[in-house]
Amino acid sequence: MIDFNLILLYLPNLLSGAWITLQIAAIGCTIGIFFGTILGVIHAGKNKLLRWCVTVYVTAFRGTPMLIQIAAAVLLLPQLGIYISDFWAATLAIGFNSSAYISQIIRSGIDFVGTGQIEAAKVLGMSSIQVTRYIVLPQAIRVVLPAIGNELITLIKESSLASTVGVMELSKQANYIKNRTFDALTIYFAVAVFYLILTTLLSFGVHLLEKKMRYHAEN
Amino acid sequence: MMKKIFPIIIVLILLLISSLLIWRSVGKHNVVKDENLLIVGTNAEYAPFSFIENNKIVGFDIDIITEVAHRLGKKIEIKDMPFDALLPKLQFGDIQIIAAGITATPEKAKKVLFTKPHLSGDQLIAITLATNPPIQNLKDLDGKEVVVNEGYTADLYMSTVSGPIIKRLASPAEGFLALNHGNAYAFVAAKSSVQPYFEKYGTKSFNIFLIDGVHDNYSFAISKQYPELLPAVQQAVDAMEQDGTIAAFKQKWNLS
Repeated sequence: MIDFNLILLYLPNLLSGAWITLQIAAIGCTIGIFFGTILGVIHAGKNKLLRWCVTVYVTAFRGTPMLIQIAAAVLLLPQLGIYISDFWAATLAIGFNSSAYISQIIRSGIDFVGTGQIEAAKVLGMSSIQVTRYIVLPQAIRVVLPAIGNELITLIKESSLASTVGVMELSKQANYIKNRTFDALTIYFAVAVFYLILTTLLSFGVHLLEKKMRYHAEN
Repeated sequence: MMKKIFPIIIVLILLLISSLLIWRSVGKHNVVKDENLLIVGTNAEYAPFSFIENNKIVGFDIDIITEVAHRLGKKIEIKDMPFDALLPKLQFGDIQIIAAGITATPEKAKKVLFTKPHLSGDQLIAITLATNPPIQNLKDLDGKEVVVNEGYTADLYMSTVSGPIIKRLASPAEGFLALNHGNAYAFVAAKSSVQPYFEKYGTKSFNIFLIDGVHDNYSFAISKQYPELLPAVQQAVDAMEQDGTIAAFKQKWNLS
């Protein structure tokens, strides 16, 4: 049977794990969206050298496992003289990995905005930065919001990989409890519920944002 | 709002029902049908207790449990899987016994059955780089990052010591990696579990501090689905203790 007393007993561990998971996801997602948008805009742009750089970046981050990227960040950054905690190393790796995926989502959104609009805006005398900021991105982001929501939910679950370098996030706390109580089933159940709550809250947030954007677009 | 919450409630209920169903089916029939088979689970990453050599699972725990099966007149089947997977498999009864250098505690004993320790007194040690001053006292680790292997006695013990910052990694190899890369100040482990590393690379580049009065003891964990196995296995282990078989295995694997 699911041992609810055990869940209650270790609730502080689960809550602190969920809080760390939330932090990794929130910071990783901020990095991912910010950096991913810049990369996406560059990738959809005209400068060939910059586009090539983004392609290399995306190939590297999408083509290698996140597990290896996290381990590399934790082990290699100190060798380069950058001393940050394991939490930050793992979170940065997750954020930059996510930015590679988000850049491609943003690029597809930008491709969706017709060239006619961009040319019209340029005729009106807008600079290419102004065109991107006021014409292209608002429409592109509205189109790709569901895809980004998906990416963020993936991010919450993939944050569990930070456990491999010792970050005490939700799945690491699950191991911690499991190793002390040997009750794997109860802990799997509790952790599944916790992840479910986190991802549901997030998809609810994305849903609200979509609604708001649709409202703005229609008025 | 209701529309959003409804699917979550359904998923939660499904999750609960499926776990209940699984548990009921577990209680009703033994998964292991063959009475003459002893199914042993291990994690063959823990030399010298259980590890892979020339594509075969060998080690101190493996030797003992193989001899136990022999004395009980059973065939043995050894399944190698990650440590994390051993526990649910044991709870479900897919494996009958875990032989992987496991330490019994009262809290764990609520969920599984334990034999009496067949090896005790494995000393806990704290390893630091020789470039740092040797540790005089556990207090020297205050505020420092200390690696332990997740779930092992060093983890359970160091978690009760306030002061050091505990970093839990999966295997001794990762512990030494973190230590050598300056990602941690110390690595605390049971002596026998780091012995294979020292035999290969020597102890010259390390300082070793014996943690006084803290020892690791190793038992077999038996599934509660097969309670009849506990007295049988215990009897066989006791007999092996008396006729010197276990002492011979200890010598073979260089354990004291």
